[in-house]
Amino acid sequence: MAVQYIILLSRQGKVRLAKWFLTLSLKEKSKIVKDVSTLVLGRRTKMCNFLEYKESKVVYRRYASLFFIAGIDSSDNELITLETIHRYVEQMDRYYGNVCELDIIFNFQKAYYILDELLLAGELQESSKRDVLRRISQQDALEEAEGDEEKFSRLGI
Amino acid sequence: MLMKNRFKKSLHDLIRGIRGCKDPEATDKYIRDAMSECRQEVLSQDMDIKSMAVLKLAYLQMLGYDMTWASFNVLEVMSSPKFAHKRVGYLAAMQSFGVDTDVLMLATNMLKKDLASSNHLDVAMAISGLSNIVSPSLARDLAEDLIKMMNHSKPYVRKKAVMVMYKIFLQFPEALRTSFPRLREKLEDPEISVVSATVNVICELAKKHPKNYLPLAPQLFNILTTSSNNWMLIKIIKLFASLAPIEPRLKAKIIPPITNIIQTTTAMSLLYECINCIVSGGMLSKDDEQLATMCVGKLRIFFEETDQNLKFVGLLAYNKIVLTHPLLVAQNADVIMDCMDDPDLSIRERAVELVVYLVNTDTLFEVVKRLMLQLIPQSRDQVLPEHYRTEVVRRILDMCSNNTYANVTNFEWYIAVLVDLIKITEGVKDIGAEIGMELQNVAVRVRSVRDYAVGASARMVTDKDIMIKNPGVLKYAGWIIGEYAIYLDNPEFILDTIVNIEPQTLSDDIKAVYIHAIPKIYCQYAGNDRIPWTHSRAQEILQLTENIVTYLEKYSTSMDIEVQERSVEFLEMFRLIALAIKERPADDSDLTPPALVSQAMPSMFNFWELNPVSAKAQKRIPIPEGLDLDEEFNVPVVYSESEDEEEALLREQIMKQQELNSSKNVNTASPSVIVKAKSKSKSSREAAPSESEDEEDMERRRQERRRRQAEDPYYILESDKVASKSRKPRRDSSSSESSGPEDPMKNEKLDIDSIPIMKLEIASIAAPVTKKKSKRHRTQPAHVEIAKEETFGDENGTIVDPDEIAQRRSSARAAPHRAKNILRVDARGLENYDLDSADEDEADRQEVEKFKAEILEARKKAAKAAEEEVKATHIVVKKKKKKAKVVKRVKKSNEKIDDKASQKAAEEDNEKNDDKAEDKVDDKVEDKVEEKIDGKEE
Repeated sequence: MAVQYIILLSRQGKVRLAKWFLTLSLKEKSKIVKDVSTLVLGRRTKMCNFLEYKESKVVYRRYASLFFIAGIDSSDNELITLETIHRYVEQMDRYYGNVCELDIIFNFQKAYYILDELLLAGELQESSKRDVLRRISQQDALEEAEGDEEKFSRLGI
Repeated sequence: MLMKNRFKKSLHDLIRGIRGCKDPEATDKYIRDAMSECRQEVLSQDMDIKSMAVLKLAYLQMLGYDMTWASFNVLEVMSSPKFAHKRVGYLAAMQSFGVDTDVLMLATNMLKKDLASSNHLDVAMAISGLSNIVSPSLARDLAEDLIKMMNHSKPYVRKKAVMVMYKIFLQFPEALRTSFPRLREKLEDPEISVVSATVNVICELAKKHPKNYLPLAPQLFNILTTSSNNWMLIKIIKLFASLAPIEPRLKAKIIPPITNIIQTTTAMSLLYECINCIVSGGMLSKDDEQLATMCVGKLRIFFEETDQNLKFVGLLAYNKIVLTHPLLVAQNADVIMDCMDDPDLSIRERAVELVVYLVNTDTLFEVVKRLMLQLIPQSRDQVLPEHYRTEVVRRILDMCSNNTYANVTNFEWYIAVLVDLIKITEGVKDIGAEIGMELQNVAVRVRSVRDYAVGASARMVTDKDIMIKNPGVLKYAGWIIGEYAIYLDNPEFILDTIVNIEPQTLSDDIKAVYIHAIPKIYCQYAGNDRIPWTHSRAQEILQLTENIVTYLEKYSTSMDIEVQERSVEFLEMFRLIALAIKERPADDSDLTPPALVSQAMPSMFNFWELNPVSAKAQKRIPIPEGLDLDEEFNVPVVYSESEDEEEALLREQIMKQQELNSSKNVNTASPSVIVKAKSKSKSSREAAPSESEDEEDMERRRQERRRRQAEDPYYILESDKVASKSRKPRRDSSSSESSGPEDPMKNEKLDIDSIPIMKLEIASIAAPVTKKKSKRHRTQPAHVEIAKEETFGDENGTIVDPDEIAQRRSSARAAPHRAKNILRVDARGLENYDLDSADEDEADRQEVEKFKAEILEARKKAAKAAEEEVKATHIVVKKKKKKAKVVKRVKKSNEKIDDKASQKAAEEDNEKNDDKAEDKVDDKVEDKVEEKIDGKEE
């Protein structure tokens, strides 16, 4: 499996998003989040973006105040994982429009939706940049249409 | 506005509320309050309220709060007809459900409904959701629906359906059989994202069981040569890296396109993957000079960039290539050495790992110096992490000891390095023992620096700092000063120091070594017959002896069996010595030391020179003819009322001795690899000289006893118990005693040490094997003689594995306790899943028929061969082997065919499927792959 988990971590160590592509108990997840957070937060700039953790690899990159962390299998390609992370950031940037940490905090579900369109079962499912956002806007539009419908029905139209 | 009033807090309110809390307690309280609100809200009939509550819970779950109690409510939200609710429901399910979530049983129908929805967004969401929550039963129930979805009109749904199949396979491997034909079709899908998804899935599958996917090689090869999508190319290349090791002919096919990519691509990730594929796909054999040169050359670019990431992966790749092409990698030693001082520790670690392979006699000195400098803390706050320091020390030891110290020209220097390492690794756990072992190894193997080693060890043993901060080394230092006490400048001082060490300072295993070293050093000091035995010297030695007696008495009741046994053993001896000294006349009339001190005692230790013995030597000793290792030679002892008192006493002693014996056998093997060739019996043990009549007498009595036992039902239990006990010692320990089967009385005599451990008279038993007694020396550039390990076997068999020392050391390294890795996906189902149902056409079936005929023919041939074999009694070994192979192969194919036949009988109505399954014969598949690739190329 390419990506085992994606965690977004603030510089203060607060979890902003945690997506797991394997099923673990809450306790196991917390342990990994805690361990990986300590590892990543202890890194200085100018260090490489790869770490080893329990026979797996951790690939991370910092964007502004957020660390984007991906756990991968030890046989996986670190460089392409870095690109996957970058792709995710790009998509969010386009979706939210100049994404910042607050956008992700208050619309955390949207961040998950974008990720679900980008990765499936830990694998990159769409390499086209445009396609991912098109799907999200389709879904948003559907949601909105439903909302309008409901309003109308409530008004008795 | 309307919406907001219906529930107490929206998600926005919740998040803002949490952010507003000043301290952790307030946050916790706020969240607990919000939680109980949610508990109410999820029960609401209003779907909006319910779904908002679930969304809030999903947020809290991310912060580490449990929401599994709301699983049913999540399911309710998922089944809402509204997309907005569904979206929230699926999100919460993906975040909180596990394979064992019980409400999943209720989810099957809902998922089926969503998968069949006319709205493709619903379908896509159900698939995404399923990828996270699939359980074995869901996988079984939904596999068919998903296989249908693989042909959905929208590529968006197709690609998702393909990707989720991997998760289905993990839970329900059977689905692989039914879906494989369609999966294969998807490699030809017009939409690139679908092809890419398929490649992804097959790549993962092939990691588990590559053989199933070999038939796809032609199609995959086609994608490799035509696609320009880097994401997919990386996966394809990874996939080929899994396939190549099981089909050697693939290598020739895929090397050209991969070389092409390596030469042309600008994407570092792709370049890295290509090189990785060549290396980990086993395509880089020793004679692929050109290919290796290209890889190594391309990797150098990684180091010329300022990107730390490239350096890191570059080092990883070099670390793999260095195993086959050390010389090529060594050409880049300059950039690698630079990485040794990189500010990034992960890069440093990789570089140091690599340097081990690159050092030679010229560079070793410099490299070790650089690494040692790293270990010395520059300032108080700049101490490197412990695991890194441990790692560096290990690498230093590795690079020096590599290939039986091939790179070390100056062993005085090496011992100095080891001593320094001990100093600078104070407080680092476990590493002391590793350094100590190295010191011991040098002391044993390099005679010319033995005195240095002994001097260094003596300083360590008397160093209070080391006792506290790095005690691991003392076990080995203690052994060295004992064994080579002859080099000690000041033996009485050492003895004095040892006996005055506070008992709680050292651990039991070190004490055990010290207790054994004491008599050896004592002999050296007191047994020196060149010093006249004057009255004053006698008094001095008497004092020392009495000190030792006091010291040993302290430990003769130790809870540690090794310490206790050794101290009791020597205690009696020192008491005798003290007595002997006291009995001497008080004047200077007799200037020779007592014989017990000058002769008896040294003879216990100085009979044979110790030589390094190969760890495999024991295994090479052939079991002498007629020796049955499972046969009991220690006759079970029974409690018998008719036994006289004497016998009862004897039995008790035997039992006790057996316990000591077995524990000793285990222990002597562990502290050092060196086994002493001791055939000397300890005089203190031999209480009474054994007489042959006595033996016969006892033998007779034992026979009688056995007869009695056989008849008396009451003895069965007891004899069983004792018998199982006597069988307990490990197999090798019993074989080490194998010289003693002719001497069944050994236990009765309590004379364990008379059993020679090393000096087996094999030559007389097994004629063709001769023990190599002569030491093989290797001349070093600086003419340092390094003793090779002794072992058994013929000339060819004595080649010492160069990595043996390293292996041994690594085995000595305390294996870090590793819990089961939870990050590893459990794919056992897929690993052993043989895909029988590859879709094949008529032609393939014919091929199978043909092959079947071949097998039949081979079977006949083999039968014939077997007949001949019976006729010909003298068979050349080589021929026999060949035939055996043929027979084996035919047997194998026979079994396969038989299997198939029975299957056929069982499922006659399913005949067509079965025929398809026939093509699973390896060779044929491989041939086809080859042919097809050939065809594609043309």
